[in-house]
Amino acid sequence: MNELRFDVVGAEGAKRFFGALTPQTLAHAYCFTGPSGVGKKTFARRLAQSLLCLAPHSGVLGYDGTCSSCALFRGENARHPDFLEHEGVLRIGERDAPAAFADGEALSARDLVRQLSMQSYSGGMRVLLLGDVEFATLHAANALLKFLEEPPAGVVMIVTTATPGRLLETIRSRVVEVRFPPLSNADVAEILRRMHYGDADAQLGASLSGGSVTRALAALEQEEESLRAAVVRWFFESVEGKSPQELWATRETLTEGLETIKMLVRDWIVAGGHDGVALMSVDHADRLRKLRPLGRREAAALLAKLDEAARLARTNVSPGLIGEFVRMALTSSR
Amino acid sequence: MKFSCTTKDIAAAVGAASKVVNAHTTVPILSNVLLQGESEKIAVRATDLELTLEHAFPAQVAEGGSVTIPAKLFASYLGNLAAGTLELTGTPTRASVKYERSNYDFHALPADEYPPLPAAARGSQFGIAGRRFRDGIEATIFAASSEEARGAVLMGTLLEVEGKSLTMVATDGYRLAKFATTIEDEVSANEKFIVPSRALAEVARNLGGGERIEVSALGAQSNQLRMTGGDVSITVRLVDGQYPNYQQVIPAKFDRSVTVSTPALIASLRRAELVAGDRASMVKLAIANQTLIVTASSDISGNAYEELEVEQSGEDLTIAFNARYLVEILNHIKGDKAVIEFLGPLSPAAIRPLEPLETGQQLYVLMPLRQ
Repeated sequence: MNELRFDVVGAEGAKRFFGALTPQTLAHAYCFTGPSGVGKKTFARRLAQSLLCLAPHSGVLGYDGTCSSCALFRGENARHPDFLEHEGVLRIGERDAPAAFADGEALSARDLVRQLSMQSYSGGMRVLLLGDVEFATLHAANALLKFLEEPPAGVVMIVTTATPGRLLETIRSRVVEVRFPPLSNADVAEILRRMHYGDADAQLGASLSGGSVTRALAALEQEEESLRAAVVRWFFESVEGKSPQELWATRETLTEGLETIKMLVRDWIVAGGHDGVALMSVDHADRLRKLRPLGRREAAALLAKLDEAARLARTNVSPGLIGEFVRMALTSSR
Repeated sequence: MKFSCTTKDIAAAVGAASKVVNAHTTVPILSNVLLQGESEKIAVRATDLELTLEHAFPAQVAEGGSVTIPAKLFASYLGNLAAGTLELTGTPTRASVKYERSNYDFHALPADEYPPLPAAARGSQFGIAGRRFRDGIEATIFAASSEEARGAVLMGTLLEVEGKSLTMVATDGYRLAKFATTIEDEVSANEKFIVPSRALAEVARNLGGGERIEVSALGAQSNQLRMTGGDVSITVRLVDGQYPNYQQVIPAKFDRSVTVSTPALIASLRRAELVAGDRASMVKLAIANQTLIVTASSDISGNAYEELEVEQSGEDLTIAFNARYLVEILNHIKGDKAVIEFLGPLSPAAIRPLEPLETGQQLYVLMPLRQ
């Protein structure tokens, strides 16, 4: 018999938590919370693989990687029929749409309710992962609520989100929250090495990551780096009261750009008098330290405006207007 | 794997199986058909993970094994071949077909990534005459709900197996259809399966002509039901849930009844429904003096009045029904005469054929409307 393994870097708290559970003590729904890029979805997929693995288990975590169920987690072309995954906005779906198994982007809340009303395909558990979930409408959220109020036997639902406060309180109160803190730089570097980055790139990515693999990859990839470089130039020009020549905010770049600005503002606050707290944007440390330190109220007001910008970014407000809104906030904090 | 077969056999099997493939699937392997070779047969399988269709056909299998090939592409290719023999060689990444002086390579996906069907559940297996099963399906599934909002359980049809009897029940909460028949093997444990009605429609279409259908449950909790007739198998994922206690809906006794000509009543109801319009298609049936009077009225359309001669037993009665539901039930009654039994104007009525079918007993229950 092959030894069971659970191949996830970091997430020690979550490993301890699930390591103490048995299939009998498993709840029907979990909410993995934490910043983006810290491994919430990866952990959820490995947990799903563990729960569906055919090798004998006493606990919850661990899979053998060789059984016919694990084979369906290995390939990019396959999907375990009892593992449903959807990422992003969940729509309510068409009423009385033709019955067919839906997955990925095509999955709607109505499909989900219908599919969860069927028995397991292979005779074991069923696992549903809603990654970075957002609900298009209240109806879509209520469809999920119906599941949470009367969970079918043998179904485990995992919701991941970086903003748990945006979930309906009625949903949050019915799920077990498991927190995923930022990864250590060593963990990020290890993950990057496993993704075939060289040691030097892995170290650089980790130092720019702020504990997030997503951010490390963005920093390492040339294309993303050019966006970051443009945003950094724009940030310093704005803070220094100049009119930025280069505009970066488009529908595609807005979220990532706002994240970069938020990290720079965080470093601006830290550079102004929080000794011992490490800067995330180590490549711009000197320039950040030269900026006038922000007072507490100024910092709080600026962060609130960035949060407002992030909220606006999820609406149909023009990206250019949002960029201007942030520029004015930065300029007034000068 | 390596085998040779006639183009006609493989085209028919792949063409039939590929109809199950969901064109919008996001899982690449589910766009493929799985071909499995063993002894002198090739089994073609396609699934949308709710319904799995398998067709087997004879072949000279030189080397066993499996291969998966894009379903629509392969079915279209085979459909364009003339009669003859082809040779197929499959590897995890490629399926090569030699036919006369042509040679095609199709990109394949590894067969071990194709979702396997669970093993058979212990004990849950029986055989039934194809005609009995097909009649049962035709007599019941129309009464299942088509509204998702009412839940998957009511969209399914209940198959209840006990000893040597099979009872099939479908209801949408307003009407109920029941068909009781016998099976060919006695089952040791009673079993209940809720089968999605669309899957049963596929069974009637694909397997109904066969002499005998083997029904077996798959999975640790009898999660799927496999129905096999000859070289065709349909496996369907069962609905998870508790079917309503339908026995409670069927009145234990009735105190009056009419025996009526089924075609005559259908025709009268159809005409009267035109007048009833949008008032829930309400028609009234008044029974008195061996006569059934069908009436309907609406402010917009006017009034309808029809008399039919019936055999009445018990007291007179006036009761209202949704004409569309009653017509649909009567359309499924085999035979020229139907018996309608009543308990009162607000109690459910039972409808059945005067002469029971050879293949099983039909019973329908319809809720009346408030007048």
